[in-house]
Amino acid sequence: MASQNLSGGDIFGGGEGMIPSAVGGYEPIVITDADVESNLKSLSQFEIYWRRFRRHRLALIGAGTLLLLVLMAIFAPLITPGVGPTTVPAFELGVPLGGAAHPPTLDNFPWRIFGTTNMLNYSILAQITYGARVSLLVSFLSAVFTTIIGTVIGSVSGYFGGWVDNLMMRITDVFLSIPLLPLLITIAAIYAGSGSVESIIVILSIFSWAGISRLVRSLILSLREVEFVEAAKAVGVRDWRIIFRHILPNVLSPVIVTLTLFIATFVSLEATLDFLGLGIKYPTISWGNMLTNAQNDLLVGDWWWAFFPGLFLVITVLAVNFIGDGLRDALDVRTRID
Amino acid sequence: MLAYTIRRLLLMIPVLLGISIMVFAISASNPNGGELYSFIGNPKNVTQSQLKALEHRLGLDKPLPVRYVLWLGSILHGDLGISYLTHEPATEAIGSRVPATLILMVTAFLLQEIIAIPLGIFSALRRGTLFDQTFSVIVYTLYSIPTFWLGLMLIAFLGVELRLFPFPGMVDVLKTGGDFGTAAWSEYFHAHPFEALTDLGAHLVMPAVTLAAVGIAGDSRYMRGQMLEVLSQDYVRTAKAKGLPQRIVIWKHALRNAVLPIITNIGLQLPGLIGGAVVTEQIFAWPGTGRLFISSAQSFDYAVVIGLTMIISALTLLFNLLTDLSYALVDPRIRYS
Repeated sequence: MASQNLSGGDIFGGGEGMIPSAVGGYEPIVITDADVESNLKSLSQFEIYWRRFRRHRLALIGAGTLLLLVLMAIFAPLITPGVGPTTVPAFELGVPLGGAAHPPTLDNFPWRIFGTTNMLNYSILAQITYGARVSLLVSFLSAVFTTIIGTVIGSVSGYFGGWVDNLMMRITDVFLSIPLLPLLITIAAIYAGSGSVESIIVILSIFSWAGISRLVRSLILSLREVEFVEAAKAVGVRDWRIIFRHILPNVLSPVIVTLTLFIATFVSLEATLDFLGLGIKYPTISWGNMLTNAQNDLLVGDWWWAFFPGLFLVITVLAVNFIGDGLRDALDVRTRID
Repeated sequence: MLAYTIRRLLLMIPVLLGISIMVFAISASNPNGGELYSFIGNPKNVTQSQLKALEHRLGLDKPLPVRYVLWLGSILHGDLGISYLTHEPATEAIGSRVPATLILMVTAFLLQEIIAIPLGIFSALRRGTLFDQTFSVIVYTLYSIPTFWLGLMLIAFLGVELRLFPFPGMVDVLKTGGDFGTAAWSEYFHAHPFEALTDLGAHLVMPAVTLAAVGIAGDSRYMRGQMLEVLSQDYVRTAKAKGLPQRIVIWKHALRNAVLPIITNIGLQLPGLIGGAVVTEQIFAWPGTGRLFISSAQSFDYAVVIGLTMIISALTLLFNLLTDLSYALVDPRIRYS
């Protein structure tokens, strides 16, 4: 049953809540008929993973939701043809500008389905579809870069040990000791004056890798002593080749799960920075900076401008977290770590 | 244990030095012209020679390593520099905001534990039931809500629509005559202590809930895991086998060991709480250090931003150490040497 998997995994690590930690009880591994059948036909590794992932109902829902969100972002111009995030829809042109914002309605479908902004009557639907591009792109790319940086640092540190390890782990300590959000606020205030998508991706990637490098290092430390690594060394395989070909494939599963959790974290972090006016700025519309603009409208009771972008943020984070949880079960991460 | 504590404290020194180097490098490498420009505001109003003189007075013309050492020296003396915005010492600017932040963080933290621990225990005891599954979904959702959006929605629905709780700020300035911490407020507090406190408490509700939300999700989940683990231990089974009533087994034998890790974990929550407090204070215009941090970062007020970053990092390190030590204190099986 899918919901049982939910109780096994957990998305809450220590600190910033990014590193999966072995919290919670173990779930008994139930062998079903499907497993027995799958033993009869030989399955590829990928098929095995997929079968296990499929059993996780919430993860499937999450994957479906994320797919829809990605499609929405890619095909934003088709969803709201002719109406960008900052163009006044044609039918609104007769409406006096500077008037009240329109609450969500089915009139003029679909433009006003999430209502309109005040003053210029922009379509909130259009802002959300275009804003999805920023949220998804920034969080996905930053998570990938963070993971790459953290994995390289962690594996070099764990594999070579000695002073390299010592130095790198002290640097990691430094990064881990500064709470991520205040650090990012400072950096973004200083460096991201332009408010471009690229600068935010760079900032998020450069300063968030410490947790992953710790994780990878600890995994590698235990793998370093394994026979197949010794064998590879004995036949004279070079260090880099051992790291990349022999060791890293074995830490891939936990790293992939962590990467997923990082996407969720970054969706939230990026929106927070945007909201504070330190991230991506107008005229590029993001879910975070929509909320900044909508703040004052809240006070006069026009809740929809702030409500819908936030709702999409929650849906996105939730979907990605469910996927991460499903992946953890499918890739059998806990057994790998132990 | 003492030797271990001292060694850990000594090990904090290189990390703190590393943090100070990083923080200094961040501020010194500012592409916007750095401290100088944040000091003068609009560079067009100043002549080149004035600029040079100012640079000299602020010590910005010295080589970077010299500046670093001087800066580090003054920090160690408790001098964080002068705030460019308010022209008061950064230590005072920060210090005067600490009580507001403490009130918010402590309240939120207590709220978090009071809700999270029982929730976690009950869903562990009712594992697999409808309650447990509903709990799981709610926790996941709660965990996925960005703090700032939760705050905004509370304002929109509880604050504006229903008018249940007052906002923004910490006190009703119209009534008290001054913000929290000012002389006017103290006067009002002494004249009407009850009204002053209920006013403060009412203002505290929405920010505290906002700040506690993510923690409730994490902690109740953690508590549930701990409880399940303890319930599967041999000694619990033995207690049941002896025929002790379920109530005693759960509340005396299991609970005690399940709650301990939560208590020790408190130290590790500090970074999350600080991050959350920064955002929460900004949204609710709560006059604490978090709000100071953001306004200083937005206006490049270096002394305050850097000072706060150093303080936050040092506290994080300290609480990590306290966490490790408290493990040993509550669990006799753990010995540090």
